[in-house]
Amino acid sequence: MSGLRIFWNNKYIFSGTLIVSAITLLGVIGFFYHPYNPMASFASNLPPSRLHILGTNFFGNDIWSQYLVGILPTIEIGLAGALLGMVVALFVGLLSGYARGLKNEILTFFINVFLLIPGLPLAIVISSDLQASHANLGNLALILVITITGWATGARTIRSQVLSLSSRDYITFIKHTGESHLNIIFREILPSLLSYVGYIFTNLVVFSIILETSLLFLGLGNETIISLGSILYYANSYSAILLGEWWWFIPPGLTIAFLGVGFGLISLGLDVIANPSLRVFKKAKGSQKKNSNKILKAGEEM
Amino acid sequence: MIPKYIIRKIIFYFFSFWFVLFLDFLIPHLMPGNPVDAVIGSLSQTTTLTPQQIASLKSSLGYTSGPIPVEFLKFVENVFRGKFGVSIQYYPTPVLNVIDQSIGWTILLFGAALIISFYLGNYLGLRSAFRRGSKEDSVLSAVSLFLYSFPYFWLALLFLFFFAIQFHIFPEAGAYNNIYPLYTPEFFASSITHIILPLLTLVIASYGSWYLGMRNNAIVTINEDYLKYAEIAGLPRSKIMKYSKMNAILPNLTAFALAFGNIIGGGILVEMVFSYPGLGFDIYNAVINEDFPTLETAFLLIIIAVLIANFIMDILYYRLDPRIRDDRT
Repeated sequence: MSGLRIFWNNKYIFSGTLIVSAITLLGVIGFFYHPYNPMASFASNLPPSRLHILGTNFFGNDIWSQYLVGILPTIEIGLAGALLGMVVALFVGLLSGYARGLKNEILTFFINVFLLIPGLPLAIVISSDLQASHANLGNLALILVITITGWATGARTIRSQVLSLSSRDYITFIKHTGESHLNIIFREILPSLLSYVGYIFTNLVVFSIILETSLLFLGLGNETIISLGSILYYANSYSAILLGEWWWFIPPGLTIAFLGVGFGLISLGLDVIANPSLRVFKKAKGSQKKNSNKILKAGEEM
Repeated sequence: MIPKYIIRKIIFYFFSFWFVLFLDFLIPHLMPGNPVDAVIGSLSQTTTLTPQQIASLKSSLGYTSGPIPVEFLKFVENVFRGKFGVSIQYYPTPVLNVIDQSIGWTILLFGAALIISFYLGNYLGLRSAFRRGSKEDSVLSAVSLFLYSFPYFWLALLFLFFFAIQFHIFPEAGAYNNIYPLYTPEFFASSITHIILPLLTLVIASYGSWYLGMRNNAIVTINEDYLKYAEIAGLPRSKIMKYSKMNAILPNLTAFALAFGNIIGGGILVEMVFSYPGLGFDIYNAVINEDFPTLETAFLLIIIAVLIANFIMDILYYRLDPRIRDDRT
């Protein structure tokens, strides 16, 4: 239990988990119970009222129902993209950290190039080409685009950790016992990377939720599936901003922002657990010294 | 003699450049079906195309049917000659002319955003690190993390909604007021009021990564022995801050690629929301009009700009960090 308490007592992880679970819960409940069929038509551009909590959009759809139904797909695509990106990051990171010689050089080169290429422009080019060639732009395409553009950051972190681990004495020792490379990678190195895996994964979730909604917002994705991103796409296309229809674009955007913040908080908390030097230590009472002593204090308490 | 570090970097950027060229060439070729057919289809609805025009369009898009290596060589030749084909949405204006009109605004907007967010983020990060655990630090960290995870385009929508549509403080679209003649004082004044909202969005959404990076680096640096020694030896606080600043900022420079990429990605969406006539707005228009020559050229230019900026950063890093210079790695 004490292992779990590290997570529970970490205020970042605690508040992040709280935010994410609250939104997910709303999404799950809303998926089953929403006041109207999200595609049903009423009078268009109605302001919020008792009948339509968030009013209706240009097509006369009830925005509150669309919002409730749209939360889950957004989270799903975000998680799926992050999961696949994580797998690629782990694979390439482990290999490039462990391999020597030319293999290492080539893999490192790919990590570094993909780190340099800005994610959104690459994603835009790939998905607009996909869309123009009338390929089936299901969610799978979106997830693949997220994976292609997002894996490199995680791979770099994994690689540098593997590099430092594989030069440790115990790994050298195990190598001399004749253990196979696969066993060393999966049994010895991978377990000590778990805290980094969590950190990278949550970071990737933030990345993929924002990339996913950005692409949908640009009209590159499947707008026929109701999600927070496609609601924002229609809000922007049918001038919700110019018409002052805040109820159309503020709730979905705020939810995306809070999802990002929630996962961001969890990743920050995991980072603090992985790097203990970032922890804040409370000063003992009555030791309020001059500012210049703070540096020393922080050092002593480490 | 050129140091080994720099040679390694030059080799890396050389290969990166070729890889990126190849990627820009390959993405449209890898797609199932053929984007160029879609382009020709949509274009022939508005204009009648002769077979010669179709052929030249195809070749300008890199779609003459030949083996991939030959095609790639042709593509490279065109890139080096500055032939990027014609734009589909402004047919038959060459792509370079389209981009030429917008790139200045983008350099202005992105450049200003990059410099301001770099200074702001690093300055606040250092301040927070020295006041770690204080109220100011907690509030700043929370706010920065919050804004850092915000989608750029939504922040832009909010600003547009509140500051331009509801309260009419700033103009809602464009980069200047075209009732004034070019390059008059009124013109420059109007370009400043037009840039404020997009710039504010970009800075607010992007300073967070510098802030969080600097704060972490500075906390680690402050705990180093040499700074503790300086403290014991009685050096003034300003000196200590200066030393830790110099050392903490180094790892942050390596994050430059990510930050630059973030600004560019976010900038595309911000320019789109504010209809700011830069490269990002071109990209957005290219996307909705299926203007692939413009899209792919803009993509290539962006990546080359990123490569060059990072190369300069790496050289700068070498100059700033004696550890690399002495290490002959």
